[in-house]
Amino acid sequence: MTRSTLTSFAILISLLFALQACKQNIEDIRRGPDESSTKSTTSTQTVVYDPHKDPLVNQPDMFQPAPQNKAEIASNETLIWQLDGSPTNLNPIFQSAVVDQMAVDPIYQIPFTGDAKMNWVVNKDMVESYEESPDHLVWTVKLKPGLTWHDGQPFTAEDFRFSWQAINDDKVPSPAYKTATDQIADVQAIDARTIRFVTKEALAVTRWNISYPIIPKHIYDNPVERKAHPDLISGPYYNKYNREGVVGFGPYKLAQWIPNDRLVYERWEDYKGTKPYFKRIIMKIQPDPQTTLLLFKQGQLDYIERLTSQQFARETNDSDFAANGRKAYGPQWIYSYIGWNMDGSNPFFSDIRVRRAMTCALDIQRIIRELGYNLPQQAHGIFHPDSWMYDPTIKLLPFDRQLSAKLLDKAGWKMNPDDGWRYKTVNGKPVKFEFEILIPQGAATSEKVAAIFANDLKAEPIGVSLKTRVIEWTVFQQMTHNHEFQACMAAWGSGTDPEGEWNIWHSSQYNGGRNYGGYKNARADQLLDAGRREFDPAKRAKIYQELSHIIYDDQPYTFMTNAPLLSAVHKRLRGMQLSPVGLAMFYPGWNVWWVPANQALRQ
Amino acid sequence: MRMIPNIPPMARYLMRRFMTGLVTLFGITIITFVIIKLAPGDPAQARTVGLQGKRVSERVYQQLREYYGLDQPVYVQYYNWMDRLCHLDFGTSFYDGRAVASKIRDALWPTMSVAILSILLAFIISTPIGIYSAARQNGPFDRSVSTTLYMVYSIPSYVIGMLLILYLGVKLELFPFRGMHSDNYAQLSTLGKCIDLGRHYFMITVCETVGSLAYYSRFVRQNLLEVIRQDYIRTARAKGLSETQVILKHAFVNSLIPFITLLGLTFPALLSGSVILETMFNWPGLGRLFFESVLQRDYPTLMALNFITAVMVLAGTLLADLAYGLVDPRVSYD
Amino acid sequence: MTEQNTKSPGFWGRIWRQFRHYKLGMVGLVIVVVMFLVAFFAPMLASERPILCRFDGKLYAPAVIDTFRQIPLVGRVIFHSPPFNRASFVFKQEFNPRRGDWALWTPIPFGPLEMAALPLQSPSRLHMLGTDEVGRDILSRMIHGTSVSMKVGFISMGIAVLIGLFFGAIAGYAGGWTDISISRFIEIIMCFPTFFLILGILAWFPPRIENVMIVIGLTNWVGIARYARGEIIRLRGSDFTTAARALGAGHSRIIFRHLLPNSLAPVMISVTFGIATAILVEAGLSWLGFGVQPPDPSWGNMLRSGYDNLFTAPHLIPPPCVAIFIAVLAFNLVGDALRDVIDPRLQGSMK
Repeated sequence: MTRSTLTSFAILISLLFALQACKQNIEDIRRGPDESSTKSTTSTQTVVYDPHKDPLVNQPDMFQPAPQNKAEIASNETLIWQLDGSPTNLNPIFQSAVVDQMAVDPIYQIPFTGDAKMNWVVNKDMVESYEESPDHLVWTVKLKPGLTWHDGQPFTAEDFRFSWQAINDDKVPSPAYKTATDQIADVQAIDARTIRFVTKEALAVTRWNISYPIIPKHIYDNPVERKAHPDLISGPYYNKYNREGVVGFGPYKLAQWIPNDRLVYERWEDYKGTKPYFKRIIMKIQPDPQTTLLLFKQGQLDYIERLTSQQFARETNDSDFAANGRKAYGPQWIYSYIGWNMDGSNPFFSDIRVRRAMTCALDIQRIIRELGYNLPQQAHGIFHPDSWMYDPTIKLLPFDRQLSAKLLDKAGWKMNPDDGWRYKTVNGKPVKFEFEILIPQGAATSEKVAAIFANDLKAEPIGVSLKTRVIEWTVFQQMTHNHEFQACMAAWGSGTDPEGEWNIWHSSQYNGGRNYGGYKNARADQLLDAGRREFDPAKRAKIYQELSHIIYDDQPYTFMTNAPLLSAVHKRLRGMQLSPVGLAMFYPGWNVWWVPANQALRQ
Repeated sequence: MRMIPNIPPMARYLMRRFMTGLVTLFGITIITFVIIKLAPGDPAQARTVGLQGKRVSERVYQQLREYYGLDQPVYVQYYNWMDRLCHLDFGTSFYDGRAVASKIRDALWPTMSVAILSILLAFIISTPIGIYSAARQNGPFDRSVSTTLYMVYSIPSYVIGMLLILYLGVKLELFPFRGMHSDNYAQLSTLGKCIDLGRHYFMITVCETVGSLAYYSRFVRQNLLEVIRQDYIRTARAKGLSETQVILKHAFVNSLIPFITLLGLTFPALLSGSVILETMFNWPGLGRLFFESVLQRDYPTLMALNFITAVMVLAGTLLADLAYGLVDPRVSYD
Repeated sequence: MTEQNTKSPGFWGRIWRQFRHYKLGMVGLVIVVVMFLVAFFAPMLASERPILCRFDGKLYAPAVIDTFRQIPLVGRVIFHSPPFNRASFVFKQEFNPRRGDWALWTPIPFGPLEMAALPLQSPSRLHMLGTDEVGRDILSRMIHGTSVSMKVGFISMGIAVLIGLFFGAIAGYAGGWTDISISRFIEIIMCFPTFFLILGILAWFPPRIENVMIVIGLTNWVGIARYARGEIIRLRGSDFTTAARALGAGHSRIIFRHLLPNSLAPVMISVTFGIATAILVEAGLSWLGFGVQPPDPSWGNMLRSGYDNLFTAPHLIPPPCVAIFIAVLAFNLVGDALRDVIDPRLQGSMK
């Protein structure tokens, strides 16, 4: 026994350690990192991926609108989506994640929404007419006649009033909608079909604020249950109506919810608005991106909203994928950034020169090339270049290590030739330029970016030490909220209205808001305040353009990349539109997707 | 307790164990509560994490804290929890508003079925190996098997998991490795469902079995060796029973009881100790529920899970001790 | 060392003489020693800096100096000479053979953090185990990961031994209520799912390697305490304790000079197994993302990156698997042999 055991050990050990006996080719090592790798491998990695040359990407078929002749459209088709997690529940006022939003979307509607260009539009399935008072304080909305809930009860103005009250009830833990709806002073039900919204302030964003989710009063305002469970979420009664017993008024009804597996929606044939073309929607809960792609290739999924860059560029070029799948690629209004804490709690980033030096030291093109497979684009500040808020005169800082070193020198951070790090004398003591960057867990790309950044900062002539700290999302949230960080890496989606920027950049939002890094600029404050109250679109655009310019020049963030839209869709699907928030989650979004009758697959 | 002399020692022993068990449980709940409270991040923050695009004002955050009762002093929160527990109520999950008890019930079966399967499997495989090894002590079979088992025993279950996933799942595509059943499970026939379930159970069960397999077979062998040396076996042999009969009838049955002892000790560990495996295999069991509850700061679920685990560990130990007493009359209950 | 103080001077020597006959135990010991050497000499095995080189007319030995700078006190005395003292100095770029520069590279000429190639390459002649998702050499990271595992194993068990011996000795020696309350406390700790304790504690300390060690130590002392307690209860009644007490020795003297050294040998067994467990737990934690922080290499986070790139880069998985297996096996082998030598009563059972 011992001999055979010893032999197996010897093999195992040799696997690990004896490999070093192999002879190395010194020439290979000495060549710079890039040269040696290109020489020594012939892997596909060296071939640059170009989405515009990929035949499967953005085929014209995908965008073909539905024909007038309904006979050409398959009317009993089933659409299967991937949902990357279980929804917490299906009551829209309790939404706390993107997954919840998607799961609720077929069942509910909102009166005003955004279209594929992120413009504010009226939901014609619900709203007959609306009127805004000249002082912008009062909005009167008239509903279409004959609207009902899924259970046949009439859908009335009372439901609007009740939902607004419920959302703003202190006992109801609605995380997402309290903040916007508290700008409304009162919601009045004039008659069954007429609602009057009275707002506290004349704000440009009011037209978005009055569009909150509506829940059925006749179910939630149950006197007995409400007394026992004023939070509208606990207890078996509310558990039922928040989950499998949900009553909505959208084009689909929930037919089945198998926990951890799937949600099944059936088209509601009594729906008064424009009926969607799919008879059934299945949302398949599958958190793992790799399995998701596998399922797609096996033909078990029709739509994956988000592929990873690697999947999009490398793992969807095989015949398995091409047999069923097409890919959609477009810009999204999401930017990733490194946020600098400028509140003076660290000796580094209050200085604008240091922040600029950091940006100049970050090789964004390399990140795009090596981590993003050429799919993302460099971010141009807080607004996407396609949006109306964007200022084309913004001049991007270059990737220039010498310039970065010069800026650091100017800011007083001098290279110590003895150890190769930069130091500055602060309060009589030498301080080493060494900072920690917070990264939320699960953001694999961020970790890689940090690794590249750390490597680049360390090398001459920069000489700055960067440590990474990966923490849970919840802790990340807490630490950034409490300003307990030096730098952090995350992303913002710029949403539908630039109003959201107020909460991120206004100096008053340092306490309690999302101005985590303590950004402070008097002119920016002025513009942010003005932008909220400006109703003329052209003037408003000017305001936000100037704002974006100022913020880019101040570099409170190092703006990295705009995340692209990377979706996989089944080849039979038609009627899509590219939008800054993906293919589906806007108006009318997936409601106008269709399948030609001769390509029907799942009846 | 000495005041009441007519209580039999067994009952007195049980009572004492019960009392100390209660004290231990109390200590466990307190420590759990403290750890939960000390960890950074709270449920209110966890709820707003997913809303990256939406802004959440300070007021809303404070309201959420109030809703979860986090604004109260820690001892009040603990008292409230204890109070509910005394009414056999684990409370409502902070995460999705469901009753904690029903969340745990849903997660119990996936974990429990794997645990039972793997114990059964380990038992079925390890017993013959152990018996054969004991019967042919130090023979070539005994030696090679024990070496192999030893090496197997040293492979951590998650390492086996990764290797199985890589070779059987990805390279050979023999078995699925995410979740409990396939996508088209509902459409399958009964037989198809069974096959599908079996395929999904395969890898995670193997991972949980492998470690205990080596443990059990060495245990069986050891016990048999001990029993064989004992007097009544010698008597049985003297009566002229064949070696096989002796081993199968007497020795095996007698070594079963310590095995049950072992079960009492390992079962709770199997139930609670599979966080990594369940995360790896996307298995909707207790381990994953636990890990997700930690990430979501779902205090009531965490408290309930820890409480239940502790109860099971205590009960397992007690059962093991009792079983031990049954076999070995020398153990007294005083 | 303690052997001078014990009643049997050749105690450890005797153990060693017997231990040598256990072939499997010796194999385990050899592996442990090899891993130890690999861990210590990691900078000389895999580094972006050469062992010996001539640069701009002068001779340097940067990797050798890197190695010895790891020793706690010595590290303060040994320095690199310029330009190698600068962290930002990239020798591979400045290296110029035309000037007469030459270099004797380390066997694996890549550092664990050096992005030497393109990401996720399969094994090649240059990168024998391939590269990871940002183009770092996996073999180099494996070697440096060894030192992480060894450190976690030994230091965390060191902490556990201190705590365990302390509580075990007090409980065993004092008896009575002290014993009962400590035993109850031990029972409480044992009822916890270890992972909960660790996750809970790690959530409130930053997940640095030092904290991982402390946490594993804090959760692993229970077995040792029970062992030590039992041993001390056994020894308390023995002749030499009575003799020492008769000679007027105080409690602490009896505990520290007589009882503890004699109960150390059995504790050693549980420490050896404990190291294996600590290595396992560290890798598991890193797998879940609570262990060693990136970009520093650890077997656990390398395994995780393998899991995340399962379909594209399957070559990432086997190396850390094999390494964890060998480490655990080696410590188990040593522990088993050690137990057979020290405590023949327990022969044959595992743990």
